Parts: sequence; C-alpha cells; structure tokens
Amino acid sequence: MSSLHEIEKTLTSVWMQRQPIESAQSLSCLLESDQFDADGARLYARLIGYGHEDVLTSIYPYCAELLGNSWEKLVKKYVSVFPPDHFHLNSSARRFPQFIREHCADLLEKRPYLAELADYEWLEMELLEVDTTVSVTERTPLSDPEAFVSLGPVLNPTLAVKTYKYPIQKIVDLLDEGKGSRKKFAPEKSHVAMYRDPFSHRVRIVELDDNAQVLLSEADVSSYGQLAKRCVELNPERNPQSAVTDLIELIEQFHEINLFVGDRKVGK
Amino acid sequence: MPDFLDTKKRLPNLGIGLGLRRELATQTLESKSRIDWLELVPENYMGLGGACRERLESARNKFPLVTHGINLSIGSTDDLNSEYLSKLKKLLDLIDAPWFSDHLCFTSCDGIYMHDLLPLPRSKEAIKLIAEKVKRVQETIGRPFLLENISYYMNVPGCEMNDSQFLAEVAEKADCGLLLDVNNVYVNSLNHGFDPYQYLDQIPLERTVQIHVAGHKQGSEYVIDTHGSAVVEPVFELLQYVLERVEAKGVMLERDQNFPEFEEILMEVDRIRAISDAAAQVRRSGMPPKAASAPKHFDRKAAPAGHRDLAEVKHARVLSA
Repeated sequence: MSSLHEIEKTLTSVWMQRQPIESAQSLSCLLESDQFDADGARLYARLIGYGHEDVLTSIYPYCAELLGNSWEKLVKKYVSVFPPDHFHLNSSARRFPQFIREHCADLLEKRPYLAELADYEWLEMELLEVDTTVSVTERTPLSDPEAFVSLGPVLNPTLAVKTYKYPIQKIVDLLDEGKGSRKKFAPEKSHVAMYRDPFSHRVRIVELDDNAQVLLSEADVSSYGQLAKRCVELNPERNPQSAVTDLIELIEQFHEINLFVGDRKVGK
Repeated sequence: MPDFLDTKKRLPNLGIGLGLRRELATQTLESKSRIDWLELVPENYMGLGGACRERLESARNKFPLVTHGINLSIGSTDDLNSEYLSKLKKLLDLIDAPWFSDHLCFTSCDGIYMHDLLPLPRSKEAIKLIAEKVKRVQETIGRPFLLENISYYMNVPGCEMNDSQFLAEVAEKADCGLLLDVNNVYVNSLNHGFDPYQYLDQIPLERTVQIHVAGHKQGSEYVIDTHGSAVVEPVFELLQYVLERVEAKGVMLERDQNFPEFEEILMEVDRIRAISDAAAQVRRSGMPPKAASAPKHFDRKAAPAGHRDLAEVKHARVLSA
C-alpha cells in the first residue's frame, strides 16, 4: 500500500502540475478496479493555478500589464522554479524578481528593466505589510538656530531607498497613464524612496535626485546643520545660501509627507 | 467523558458572528448591535503591521475574536511549522481567543504550500498522524482547538472510510472540538451523493463548538463552496437540525466575495440568530427536535451534464481577507 506521504507527494506533484495527472495512476493504494479521479485532479490543479496567478497579478500589476498574454505562462514557470514555500500567501511571490533576473534572459533582452520593476513592486508589497510601528513625534521649528545644530531628523522606520539602473518610477507613471507598454527605455540611473505612511498605511514613493539620495542616506546620523553643510559640498556650483534654503524646504516637505517622523538630539 | 467535552462546557457562548473581511471591515466594525463576535484568518494578521494591524486592533477593541486558520496543514506528513505555531500563539494570546480552528485537510507537502484546502486520504494512518499533531498543537498553543470539515471535489486515493467516519475518528482520537460547516456538508452531499442528515447523525455533534454558515454556487458539474452567494434554505435547515440537538458556542456567517449590500449580510446574520434562538428553546423545552428534512436528490449525476466549467470555480479558493 502507498504510504500517506507517498499519496500526498504524488497529489502535490499532480496538483502543482509538476507531473502529469496520469502518473497518479501508479499509486499502489488504487485498487485494480479504481481509476484515479483525473477530472477532480485537474479541477484542483486549476484552482491552485488560479490562486498563484491571482497573487502574482495583485502584487506585480505592472509586470503583468507589460507581459499581457504571456503572463499566465510566466507565472506557471515561476511556480515550477520557485514553488511556494511559506504559509503566508503573499510570501509565495517574493522570489519573482530573482526569478526574472536568473531565469528570464529572453524577457530581459526585450525589457531589460523588468527585474528592477519587479523589485520595485515587491518592495511596495513588503512595506505595506512590514510589522513596524511608525510613531510621529512633535518637532522643533528649524528657524531656531540651536535646534538646527543640535537636532536631526528621525527617519520613517519603514523607509527603503533604492537605486535602479533604469527610470523605474517614470516607467510606472507611463504605465499608469496607459502609455509605455510598448515603449523602449534606455538605462538611466534613478533613485526612489519608499515608505509606509503612518496614518493612511499606504506606501508613498518619492523620486530622488543624486544629491537628495546622498543626503537621505546620511540623514539618520546627521544633524540638520550637518546636512546643510553636506548640501553645500554637494552643490559647489550653487550659491550656498540658496542651496541651504532649498534643503530646508526639502526637510519641511519630508516632515510633511511623514518620510521624516520627528526630531532626534544629536551628540556633539 | 472525553476531556474536550469538559472543556467545551467552560467555553463562553459567543453568540452570532461574522468573518472579518478587509472589504467589509468598516461596516462590520460599526455593527456591534447586530454582530456579537468576529472570526479572522490568522495568516492575514500574523506578524503583519500597517493596515492589517490597525484593523486587528479596532476589531479586538470592539468584539470577541477567534481565528480560523488555513495553513496549519494538520493532515500533512510534514512536521508542524514552528514559525507558524509561534506566530499563531502570539496572535491568539494578543486577542485572548477562547478557541481557534483550522481545516481537516493538508495544504503543504515536503515544504511546498499549495494555499488551498486539499482533501486527505481518509485512512487509519492519516487519523493517527492528525491525532498526534492536534495534541501537539493544543499543547503548544494552550487553547481549545477545533477542526473543520472541508468541502472536497474528489476522493483521493487511499481512502479507507467515508468522510463522516473519518471526521468522527479524528475528533475522538485527537480529542478536539469540531467547527461544523453546514454548507460544506450540504455541498459535499450534492457532489458526492449522500444524505447530509445521515452524515450529521454519524459525527460526534456534541463536540461542535462553532458552526459556519455560507453560500455556494452551482457549477456545470460540481457545486462549489464559494462563500459568495446568499445562504440557501437547505443549509439553514441543516443548521436548525444541528442546533436543536447540540449547543454551539458560536455560529457565524462566512461571506468572502461577491459582496451584496451590507444590510443583506446583516439580515442573514439575523436569520441565523433567529434559528439559533428557536433551537435553543427546543433544547431547553426537552421537546423532540425536528426530524430530518426529506433527502433531496443526492446523486451527483443529477447535476446538469456537460464539461466542468473551470471558469466558474475560479473563486473557490479560501484566501485572504
């Protein structure tokens, strides 16, 4: 007689479409007169397949839109390479960017930005769910000179800053406008800051230029004054006063959109 | 007397509840006057922050909560997932759930999660394995555990008994409670050609702690447990049949998709409450409960002929809120 494990293993292979349905006919627990319920097995295989496609489509809507009719086939290939290995449903989609990078050379030839787009979409998903509490605290106005040197910003703890080789945010914006699905994009370095808003719980995305990216990467260990100094260094061609004014405006904006969530004291 | 029946006596009577679903959360949380308690899918809240955490906090501030899991995979030959159990325990402790439940099925094998409720070979080997795993789960979590009868669309190889015998033996050997889904009983009776009342008479109804009521959909060949339609009269009749015989500590409506106006959902909750109240009176009066309704055509071949319409069963997955 087939063991319970042998039966479950065979059914899993059949339902996950890793083995043909007919292979289940070899289970020794089937009596000679019995037939394996191939119709029932096909039904479960389809249900499980629909489940995978639903999850992947909901997490990677831009990739799905770009790939159109070939999306379903790609999801099947992804699941066969990286079968779901976690009890959390969304987690079954986490290796999709890796799959694109390592197993989809043909797709990357036509759309070399696809792995980065998938990475961008997965990051959004991760930040939506990450179990981090974001508290917003009261601030001291930057107009206080003492505060300017003794305080620095508290970054939203869900913040992730990514640098891509392609203009991923621009691609996303074009897809949102219904354009861009056939467009070719040349490499163009881009930075995005992604974080979860503590009030709406939605993920917010901010495009950063090179200097803003550098300043943001140093913000959690710097005072506002140190950031101002760095800003002047990064903009040698600009009038220092105007560069600092722009920085203060940016800092205020970051507080307003909850990318910064308070002030912290900075040791001398 | 088995231990679980003693445990059941001490459980609170939660009344009539509803499954907490993201799409209906705002209205659900505002309907305390007509909903007594909520059931949530733990996988949608375990270790998650943001909107999920906020919804959980709002729910636990207003309602008693219990969980109904999907991926414990109690029938799998894989060992219990310690990360899963640890996160589940943390959640159950947070909400102080009087009990928790999952399905009599397997959802994973050799570490692969299929994220669907899959039927088991109904064998002695499976019963032994499940009974051992249930005992370990109850010990780890420290709260009463219930198993739910699933709807199934094929008899897998290796079955040595029918579904009611299997459910009864598992519950007795594992000494756990039952979450009886009367819609699943009805759907299975249509798909596999048996009398649902006979099924109910063959299982240890006294172990029933919680009852699920839901709607289904007639596919071209199978009746599908979609949780996406209004509850049909025969399912309400099965509910009445059960509640006139045993006390359940909580009865609830599952509605997961194809959402109508929220008032329609509340009216179904009201209907469940009316049946529950009337049945409680019958139990208290000592009058004989209502006999089973005449069995319908429990012949799978009676369903319309034709190829199975896979598109129609697309939404049968039990998924996230």
